[in-house]
Amino acid sequence: MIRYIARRLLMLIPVLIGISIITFVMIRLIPGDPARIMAGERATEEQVQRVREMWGLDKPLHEQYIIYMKNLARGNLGRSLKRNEAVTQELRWALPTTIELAFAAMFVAILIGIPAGIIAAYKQNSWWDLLVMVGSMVGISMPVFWLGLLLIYVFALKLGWMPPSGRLSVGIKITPITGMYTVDALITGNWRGFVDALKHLIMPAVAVGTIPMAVIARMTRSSLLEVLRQDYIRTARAKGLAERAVIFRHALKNAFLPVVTIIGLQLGTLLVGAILTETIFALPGMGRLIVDRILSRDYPVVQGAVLVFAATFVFINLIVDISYAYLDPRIRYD
Amino acid sequence: MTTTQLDISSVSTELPPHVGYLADAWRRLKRNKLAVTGMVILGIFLVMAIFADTYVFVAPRTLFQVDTSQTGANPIAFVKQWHALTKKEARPLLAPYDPSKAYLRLRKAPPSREHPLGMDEVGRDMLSRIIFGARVSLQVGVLSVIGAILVGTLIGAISGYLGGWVDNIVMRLMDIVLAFPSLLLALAIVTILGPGLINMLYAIAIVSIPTYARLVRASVLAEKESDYVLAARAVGAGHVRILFRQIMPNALTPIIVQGTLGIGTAILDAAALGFLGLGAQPPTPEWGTMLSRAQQVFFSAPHIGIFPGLAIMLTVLGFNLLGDGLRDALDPRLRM
Repeated sequence: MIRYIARRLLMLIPVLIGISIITFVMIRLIPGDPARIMAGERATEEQVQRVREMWGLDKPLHEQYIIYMKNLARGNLGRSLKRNEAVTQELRWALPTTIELAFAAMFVAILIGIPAGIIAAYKQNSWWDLLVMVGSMVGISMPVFWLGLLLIYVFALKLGWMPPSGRLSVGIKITPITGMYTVDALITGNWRGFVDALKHLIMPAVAVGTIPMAVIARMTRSSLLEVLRQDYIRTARAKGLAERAVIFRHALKNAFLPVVTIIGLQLGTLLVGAILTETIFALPGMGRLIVDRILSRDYPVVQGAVLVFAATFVFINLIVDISYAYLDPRIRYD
Repeated sequence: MTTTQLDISSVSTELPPHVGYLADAWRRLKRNKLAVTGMVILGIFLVMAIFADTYVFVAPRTLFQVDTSQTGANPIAFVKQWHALTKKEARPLLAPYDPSKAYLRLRKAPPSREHPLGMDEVGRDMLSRIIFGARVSLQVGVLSVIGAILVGTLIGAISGYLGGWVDNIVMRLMDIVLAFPSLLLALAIVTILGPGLINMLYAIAIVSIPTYARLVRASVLAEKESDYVLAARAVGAGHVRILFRQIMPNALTPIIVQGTLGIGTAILDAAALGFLGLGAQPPTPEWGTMLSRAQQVFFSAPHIGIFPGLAIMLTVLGFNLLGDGLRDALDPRLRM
């Protein structure tokens, strides 16, 4: 196991270097003087000069990359043009917002997707099955941002059950520690804050979670159907076990590994969903930050955010891979 | 004791008629209700895209009106001028109105008899814009996927066939591209190229290249050492011939399936970029861009937001249903 983890960590190095190269090249590929691009359109000649020196923009490209990496190692991602503060400072609160949303969405997706898949397999070819299959097909095809708008329209505007946007109601305060408000509220024992933060989280989580939910439901169904055809299930049935016991005690355990795999593969969908959903629900996360700053040409923030976003994605993927290896020892010997 | 005699006079001794691979696949596809539904949906949108205006009827005539003294031998300039001429002469056909003509007094008007889907925030006919939007979305989806397939196939085929360090480097590069969530990379590319319909097309094509490269590489690796390839080599076939005539046909099925599903994904990504204001720019009648505009007026005039979203969903649903059906029909082994 340790050897497997070590190998996976080693494999991470080229990917991380690749990500850093892509974000490094990004700013230099934008037409125009990189120093001016990083200092902003309204910067004085002097400010542009300072940026040029700091990032070595008058030096050859490979030296620039080394300077970039050195700064990166010191946690220096440059300064934001819009807010004039360190990029890392802007990311500090945006990242946990997105991660909280992604986790909540995954929770919703698993909570509904797996039971739906089990029901569909259990009652194969019934109306339930058709409903789950068609419903999941529609779910996969739905634009996330459109679903978000519909949710706001129905549940916030027409029914008034949910707050339409933002992370907290006016007047509710949460002491930020991790930046994930529901967690922070629990840590500080702020019950009212927790309920309020949770309420604000539900609709975005449903919007982001719909596609993974559909994928998980389909995978659970097909994987369970596959397992139910196996001999040992026939044996279990033959010895007179109730169908319920066959499914829950014998079949599910083996049907779950592909489901766990597909859950891991949905991480990308979640993060992408977050980019789109944060804009609609006015959540100050990574996605909204990136889109916002592309439009206002705040390139240092875009660069830093893309880097951190991609690196987060890679690291979460690593954790997922390691947990498979833990669940299924065969993977370790690939 | 009576013996029953088996009457074999009615038993045919002929073999069943030979059914080709494609005919067989088509037969299976036709029996799949969901796939047929997908094809019907796509058929409707395809008709909308082609016959939104008289473009296809005008095009043959305007071909001869292109001023070749201006364009010279540059094919891109030629096509651009041809397109511009055709567009200028085309009149609405299926679409009841001109998609860019605004009736200011009818701003945000709800659906009515004259305007079945209502009017948008500046008073343009929604139905006409949706119909023209089919053209934009299908073009973006199909073109970006074709581009990605061409480049991805080339990369995957060469990488898999050559193997060794070339394969190693190319595949690590593809891994790095895949390390980015696709929309994030598309965002990064649009940042470099600048927002716009064509740049968005490039971005979407680039992010889907690794998928096809991997697919093709896997097929090539699987077949490279097979006996028939060895036989082809023994009779003196060259590398290019072996790769493209012997090995590549095997990769066709997964490419067709993945490509069909990929068009759906590309349309969703295009709509997403349009929605974020980074794709097609107004007044292009692109569904995502329309939704982005609708965002501000969604709550006072929901029809402006509902219909473009519905159009996106149905089109993507069509491609997903057809793609799933194709997978089952073309290769029953892949059935999930």
